[in-house]
Formats: sequence, structure tokens, C-alpha cells
Amino acid sequence: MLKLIFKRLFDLIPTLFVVATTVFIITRLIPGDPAAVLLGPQASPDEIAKMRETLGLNQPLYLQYVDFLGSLLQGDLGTSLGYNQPVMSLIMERFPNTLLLSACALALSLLIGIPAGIISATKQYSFWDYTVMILSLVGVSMPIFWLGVMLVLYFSVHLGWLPATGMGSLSEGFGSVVTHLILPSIALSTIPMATFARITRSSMLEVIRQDYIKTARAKGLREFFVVWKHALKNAMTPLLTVMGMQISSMLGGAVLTETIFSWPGMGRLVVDAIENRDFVVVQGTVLFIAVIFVLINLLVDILYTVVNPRVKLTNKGEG
Amino acid sequence: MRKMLKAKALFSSVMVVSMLALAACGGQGIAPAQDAKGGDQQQAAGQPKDGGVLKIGLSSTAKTLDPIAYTGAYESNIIRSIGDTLVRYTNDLSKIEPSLATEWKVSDDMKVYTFKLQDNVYFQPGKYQDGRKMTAEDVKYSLERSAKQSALKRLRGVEKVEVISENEVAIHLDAPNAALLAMLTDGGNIIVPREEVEGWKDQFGTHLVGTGPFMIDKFNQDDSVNLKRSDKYWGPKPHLDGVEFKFITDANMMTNALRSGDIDMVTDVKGQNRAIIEKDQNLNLQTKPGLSIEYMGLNQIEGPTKDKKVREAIRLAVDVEGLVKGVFKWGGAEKSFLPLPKASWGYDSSLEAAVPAFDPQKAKQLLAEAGYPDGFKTELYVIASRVPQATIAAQQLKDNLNIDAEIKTVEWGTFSDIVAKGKAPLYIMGWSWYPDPDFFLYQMFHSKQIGSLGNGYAYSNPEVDKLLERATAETTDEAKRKELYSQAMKQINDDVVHVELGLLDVATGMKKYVQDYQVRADSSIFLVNSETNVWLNK
Amino acid sequence: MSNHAQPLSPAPATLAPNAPKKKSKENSVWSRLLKNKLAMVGMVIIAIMVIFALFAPLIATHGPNDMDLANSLSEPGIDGHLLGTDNYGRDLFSRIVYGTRISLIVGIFAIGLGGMIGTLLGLLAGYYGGKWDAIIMRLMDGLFAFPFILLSISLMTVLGAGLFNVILAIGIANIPGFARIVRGQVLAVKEEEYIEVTRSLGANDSRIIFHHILPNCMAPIIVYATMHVAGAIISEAALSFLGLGVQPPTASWGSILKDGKDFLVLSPHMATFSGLAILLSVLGFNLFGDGLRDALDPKMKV
Repeated sequence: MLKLIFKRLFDLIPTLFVVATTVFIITRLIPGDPAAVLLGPQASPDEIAKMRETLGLNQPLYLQYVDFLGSLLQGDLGTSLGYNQPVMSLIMERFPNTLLLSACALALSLLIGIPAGIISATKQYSFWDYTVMILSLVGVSMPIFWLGVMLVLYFSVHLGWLPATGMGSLSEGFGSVVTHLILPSIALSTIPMATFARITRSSMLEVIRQDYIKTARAKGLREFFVVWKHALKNAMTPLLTVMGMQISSMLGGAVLTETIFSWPGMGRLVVDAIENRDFVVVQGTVLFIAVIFVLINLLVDILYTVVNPRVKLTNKGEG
Repeated sequence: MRKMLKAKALFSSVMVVSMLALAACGGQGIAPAQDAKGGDQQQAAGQPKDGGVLKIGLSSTAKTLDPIAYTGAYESNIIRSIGDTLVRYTNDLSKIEPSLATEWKVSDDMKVYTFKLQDNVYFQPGKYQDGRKMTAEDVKYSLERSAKQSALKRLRGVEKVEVISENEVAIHLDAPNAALLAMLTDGGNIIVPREEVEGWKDQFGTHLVGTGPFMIDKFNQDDSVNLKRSDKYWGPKPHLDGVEFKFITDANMMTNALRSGDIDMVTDVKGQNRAIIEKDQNLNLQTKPGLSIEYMGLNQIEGPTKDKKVREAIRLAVDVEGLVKGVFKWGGAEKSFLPLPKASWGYDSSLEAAVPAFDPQKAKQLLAEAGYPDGFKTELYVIASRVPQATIAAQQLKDNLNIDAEIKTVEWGTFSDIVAKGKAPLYIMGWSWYPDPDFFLYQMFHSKQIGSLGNGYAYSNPEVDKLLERATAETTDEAKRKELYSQAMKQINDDVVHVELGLLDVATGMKKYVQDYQVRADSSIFLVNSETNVWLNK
Repeated sequence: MSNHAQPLSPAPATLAPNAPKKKSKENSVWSRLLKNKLAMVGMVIIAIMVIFALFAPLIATHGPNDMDLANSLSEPGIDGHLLGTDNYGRDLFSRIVYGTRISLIVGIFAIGLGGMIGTLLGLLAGYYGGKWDAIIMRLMDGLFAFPFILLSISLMTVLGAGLFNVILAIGIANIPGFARIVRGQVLAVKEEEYIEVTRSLGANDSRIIFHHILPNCMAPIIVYATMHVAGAIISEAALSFLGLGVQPPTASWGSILKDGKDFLVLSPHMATFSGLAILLSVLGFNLFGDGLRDALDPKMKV
């Protein structure tokens, strides 16, 4: 097992190299002069030229690239042009916020999505089944930036129940953070929630029909027990796969959600940085997100192989 | 849709309930009228009360408050509560008045400005000093730092700052400059203690220390900045316990936050949010014409607009009044005539008559004379926030002249790059700076500024150059300078460089309990100074 | 909006690895599809979109760019404006009708582009294996490591706004997904006996790849593509929503929504209808893709 993990980690090196290079190329290709952005409308060409010099933008590209890779190896993501601060510290200030938002959204989607899928599967063709099915179909098709806007319109503007933007602060009490979390979490959780419901339903339906469940039922095991113990356990593998993909895509979804709700996370950091041509922040943040992304996928793969053997067996038996 | 209707119905019922609640409370009825001046408000609401934290929403994220590194107006608005400049503009921008300097004089050759300093000014205590007295050495240090190190040169042409005595400094310029005082009012030229700057180094931007009414309590990256009252402040004792600047980049979210009470005040209110705030019983919208103008720049040396007839045709074909009304459906701007805002002392309304009115017939004829009877294809560069202006202008050019102006929405970085290099045939942008006309006219029309964003159309007229130079080098007398600027603007108008579009309002929305806040044309936020001391009537 | 279209099945790579072996199944696939009510709903939505796009000038009640500044933001149903007007007084219904064109064009061409390149790379990687496989798949892993929307945003800032660039950006971002699923398919198909037989009969590589392997990968490719058209539509809307998509005055649902956001409180109709249009069309493609998969994948057929 350990060997496998190490091998997979080792495999990541070329991937990350590609990621780093792509990020570097993309950020250098973005048109617009960061020095000019930094200095604002009233700057003269001399001032801009001087600024370019101080920022090291006049170095030949290959030197910039070598510099970039070199400091990357030392875990240094460079210093932001706009914030005048190490990018790593900028990221570390915001990463927990993104993590908090994503974790809440994930929890929400699992806590609602899986039970909804179970109900749907166990009561197939019932009213609840149809409701869950339709809602989840709409859910997976939801443009979450629109949903975000609509949530704000209804719950913040019209009803005035929940704050629309920001994340509050612990100094205003725990409740402040919680109320700020609700709307962005709902927006971000919609797609994963709907996906979990659908996956749970379909894999459970598949399992429920299998012989051993029928046997278990015939033996008189209580329905509840059958559902939880056997069916759900076997629905874990597809759920796990999807969960990995959903967590990864949540990082992307966070970019939009954070923009809409002014959530001070990494998504907003990178969107702002793109707008301000703060290349160093863009490349650092995108790289960081990519690494997280890759690591999550790795983790899911490992979990998958942990869960998988038994599932494989049952599949073979079936075939 | 049904859901929406339901939402509306619910909304109105909530409104009714809250109005009833208000009526029941009664006391709120005395709330001041809209657009009232600060002084009246104060009287209406009775004696100022101490206490409370004022929460202000800012539309952009402040990154650094280091006076030599900050780049945005929203950052300077925070800086103004923490630090003081030597001199400052009065709230109505009519004159420059003492702040840290009590008086000053200008040498006859206009190259040396001598300032006398206040004697009772102390820095806020910080990590590297415990709130010591501010001296002439600090002024020298801060201003020279700004002159030499500031990327944005907020203090141009300063050769050195000389300490004459503990309370007196002289600023030596490399050339006569009548506009120096205006520059000194910039938030970038506040006086800061050397120990803190050198101690914090890169971190000074989030640990700014100054001499102002409030000091930094906490800087929450990307979220907010908390300030608390400084007991060392040399001016009137602030009524507020503190200030919180919250960054909310989305304008609608900002208004929501104001209505829901997350914040007490928002700057830069635009569009539907004006109407929403005006309608709200608990809110006040204070608005006045500001120092921001918008215009369409016409490339002087490349493309069809090289021909003055084409430029004139374009100017005649844009229905500015319609455009401004279309973009600013709920108010917030008026038609602009000159490349200078009305709030500047250099504004000359007698020139307005010389600006031709909308005349599509004549425009069509001129364009035909210029050899484009069927119009032509061109590009109109614009940043995202001015897309509505571009959309309407492009449609008018299409309708009236059959000119196909493809709208190119680009981000600021690209925009400034393309425009500064003179590569944009047409572009719409805005300009805003100090009220001194030098910061508008020299920047936008002097041939030395070709290659900068200001003169992105590469306008060059030796006569105008000379007038603009004389206006800062010959005299500090405002009346004489104004005359020179008027002559320059007349010539510029004849040469057709801009299509002037809107003159924008500065609009601030606030809860009615916010008292004695005065909205300024330059949109800077002063909470406590000799004219203002904001308090909360809660 | 999170990642590109949310594949509704557990994992795209496990899509029906051995489903469409024989062509004789085609008929039953169709009949299964026709019996699936939800898939039919999806098909109807898609059909309506296609009709809107093709006959936009006939269906729209006004020119999509005709301004009437005096009557901006009027409510739905007033003065012959079915869905009201936008902030320039342009007819919202007509703009939404014309917006269908942008959504469909981007959806189809971006997926076509990403699908073609991705499929080719997947075929090469899967068939030749070894170094080819390693290099191509490392590259794909590298691209795959970016959250989809972030990659599109970065590409758009590089390319600049505009319809063609939107297609390019979304297309490129879709390459790795196709490459992965096709490679997986190829690996499964490659080992089949008849491929060995064909090879021993002297067929060359390109013949084997395009005549024998590719046809056997088509089913999952089609399902994957259908569902990702939905993703591309959402991505275009998201990019336009962020101001990075097609340029004004061209009508696109995302840009209507973006404009509508500024008038949300007083005139919510702009944001509401444009968002509904996006939701419905995405739902349509998802439903259809879902049904297609069920019809093609016997394992799902119960």
C-alpha cells in the first residue's frame, strides 16, 4: 500500500512540472503591463519603465522561467506585485476560508444528497422519488452563479434574513460567520448534492436488486438494517469516485461563488489578480489550487483501491 | 416567474410591517431631510453623541496603506483617517487650508515653499515607537520618501526638503510649480514616523502609523480594516470609537449590506442602487457633482479620425444627453462640456456655448465630405465598467453615421497598454484627480504626455503646450491661471480631441443615524477634521 | 457551475466499457431512447433551441440590438415586449432568442473542437502506449489539474474576449476529459480478439485505429459529448457573466444575466429569464445525454 502511494506521488512530479510550465506560459501571455496597472492612469511612461525594471519584468523570459522554477523548488511562490507580500502568505490567509466554505458545502451536500438518494431508491416510483429525481435533475443543471444571484435577491434583499457578502468575523461572534456561510454554501453545494442524490439512488437500486440483498430481506432482516448495512456499503464505490470529482470541481466552483458573495478566499484572490495583472499571484494561486486538486484526486484513488477489492469480487460474482 | 411575483409580494409585506414598526417608534420621524448639509443635520438631531463604530463599505479591496505604494482611491480613503497631510482642501474644495502645517509662503521664483508646523502633534503608538512627537525631521523624511520612492510620484519635481527649525521646513522644487499644494493634499503625502516604516518594511502597508484621528486595530486581508480612536490625535476628539472599512466589490451586495445594516455607509453609489437607497426610509443619499469626467478619446494621428472633419462628425453624431440619460437611468451624472469637472476652480462655463450640439444631419454631411459617405469600420476600446457608455455610443455611430465601431472590452491592464501606446482608434475612459486644472489639462493635452494614458490620442498643439506650461510656471494667482486654462480649453475644443460624455456625481448612501458626514466632490472620506466630526445618533 | 458538465454516471472512464460491440443493437438503442420520457423532454428542449437558433429573425419580435433608451427596463408584457426590455430598452425576448445561437454555437463547436483533439490524443495514447501514452497523458493530467473554470478564465484573458476565443478556450479546456475517456476505451477494446485478428491479417495502424477501434469508442464519446455540451453552455454563460465572453452588443444569456445583476432589485426580470434560459437548455442536454447513456449502456438498463 505504502509503496503504491509513493509511486503515485512520484508520478505526480511530471504532472506538476507540466502544470507549473503551463501556468508560467499562460501568465506571461496575458496581455497588459502589470507595471502600468500598478501605477494607475496617471503614470508616465518613464515611471512605468522604471517600475518594470524594479519588478524584474525586463529580464528575458527564459531567465524568469528558471528563476520561477528555482524558487518553486524552495517552496517560494514569489512576492505579489500589488500586495507587496509573499504570495504564500497571501494564499495561507485565504486558503482556510476557501476550505471552510468548501467543507460546509460538501457536508451539506452529503447530509442532504445521500439520504435523499436512499429515500428515493427505497421508495422507488413514489412521490418522494419523483420529487428527489426532478430536483436533482434541475440541481445538476444549475448555473450556480445564477442561483447565487437569486439566493441573494430572495434571502438578502427581499427577506433581509441573511447577509449577502463577506464572511463576517469571529470577533462579531460565531453566529456572524455562520450566517455569512449559509448562502454561499447552498450555492456551492447544489451540484454536488444533486449528483450525490442521483448516484446514491442509482447504485442502491442496482444493489437492492442483487440476490444477496433479496436473501437478506428474505431472512427477515429489518428493512432499515438491510438498506444501511448492505446496500449503502456497496454503493460506496461509485459515490467515492463522484465525491473526488465533486470536491475537485468545488475548487473551481469556489471561484465563482467567492466572486458573487465576496468571500475572501483563494478564488477571489485569483480573479482579482488576473484583473490586476498580478502575474506572480496568479501563477502562485493557480499552481496551489492545481496541487490541491491533484492531491485530492490521488487521495480518492487511494481510498478507491482500499474500498475496491471487495466490490470487484461482488461484481465478478454477478457477471 | 411566479416565484418572483411571490417574492415581490412578500417583500412589500415586509416593507409594510417595517413601516408600521417605524411609525410605532415615532422618534425616527425627525430624521433629517435628504441632501441636507452636515451642519443642519447636526442641529436637527441634537447634541452629538460619543461612541459607536462606523462601518463603511468600500468597493475595492485595499491591499496596502503604505502612502508611497497605495494605488486606489479606496486605499487613500482609509489612509486619510489614519494620517494627516501638511495642508488639505476644505470640504467644498474651494481652498486649501492648514492641517499639520499652520501657515506657508511661496518664494518669488515659485521654487521654494516654506511651511510652519503645528507644535502639538504626536504619532500613534506602534511597535517601533511609543507615540512620540512629530517633528520637522519627520516631514522631511516622509515627503522625500514620497518624492523619491513613490512609484506614482505623488510629489513631482521636489528636489529636497530642508529642515529649517524643529517646526519649520522648506520644500525646494526643481522648477516653478503653482500646483504643489494640491499635490501635498494627497493621501500619499501624509507624515509617517521613520521607525515604523523601517521596522515593518514590507509590512508597513498593513501597519500604517500616522498622526490622524484613528489608528489601525486590525487589517483583515481581503475583508476589512478595523480602526480605533487614537487618544493622541491633535485635532478635535473624535466622537466615534472606531471605524471599520469593509471591502465589498459588488455594488448590489454593497447596497444590500447597507440596507440590512451590515454597514452604515457606502461610497460610490450608482445605478439602481441610487433609487433603492433613496426609497429606503432608513437611508440617506448625499450626492454632488464630483471631479470625475468621462469622454471618448479620438485618435489624432492614426485612422480615419486623423481627419478633423471625421472627428467633428463623430462629435456631432453622439447624442450625449441621451447617452448620459440612458446609462444613468436613476441619475448620477450630467452632460459634460469641457475636459474639466465643474467642481474645479478652473471651470469656465462661458466656454460651454462653443461646444456644438447633437446634429446627426450635419455629422453625416461632414463625414461624406471627409470621404466616408458610407461610414467605416473601427474599434472602440473600453473597460468593463464603461460598457454601457460604449454600447450606446456605438449604436449611435452606427445609426447616425453608419460607422461600425466594434466594442473591445478589455481589462484595465490591457486597456492602459493599448491606449497609452496610441493604438486605440476610439476609446472611452474617465479622468479624475485634484481640483487643480493642471492635473486634468496638462495630463490630457500636453504633447509631453504622449505615450501616457492621459494623452492616448497623441494630441499635440504647441500653442496649447505653451499655455499649459505658463499656467503653472508664471504665477500662483488663481484668477490669472484660470484665464490661461480657459484659453487652452478653447483651443482644445476647436481641435476636437474628445467627445465629452458625462460628469459624474459623488454619491454616498448612509443610515440616517450617521450624522455630520459631508460628501466631498473629490470623493475622499474625512471623518474627523476641523470641519467635520462624524457621530452616530443611535 | 463547477466543473464542466457534471457527468451523471459514476465515472466517465467506466462508461459502458463493453457495451456497443455489435451494430445490431442500434435499433434497440433507439427504441429504448424513445421510451425514455425524460430523454424525450430533453430532446424537445434541444429541438426548441435549434429552432430558435435557426429561425431567430422570424421568431424574435424585435431586432435584438434595437435600442429604445426611453423605454428601458420595462416590465414583461408591456408594449408588446413579451419579457420586458433590458437596460437599453432592447426587447428581452428577442435577445434571449438570439442568445440561443451563441449558446448552441459555443456548445457544439467547443465540444467539437475539444472532442476531436481529445479523441485523437486519447486514441494515440491508448493504442501506442509506452512513451506516447506517458507523454500525452502527463500533459493531459497537467491540464486536468486546473479547475475547469479557472483554466477557461486564464485562457480568455490571454486570448481576449470574443465568440471565437470563447469556443477556443472552452474547447481546449475540454481536451483532457475526452482524451482520458477515449484512452480508457481504447485500452479495453485493444485487447479484444478481433483486433488481434485484423492485425494479423495485415491491417496497418491507422486502419485499425480509425476503422476498428474508433467506432467501438463512439458510444461513450457521444454520451460524454452530449453531456458536455451542457457544460460548455454553462461555461460560456459563466465567462460572459464574468465579462470575459462574447462582446456587446451581441446577445448572450450570460451577458444578459451579468447586465441584469445590476438591476436585480428593481427589475429582476432580466436576471430571472436569462438564468432560466441557461438552466433549461442545460437541463435539456443533461436529460438527453442521460437517456442516451441509459439506452446505450445495458448495465444501466433494468
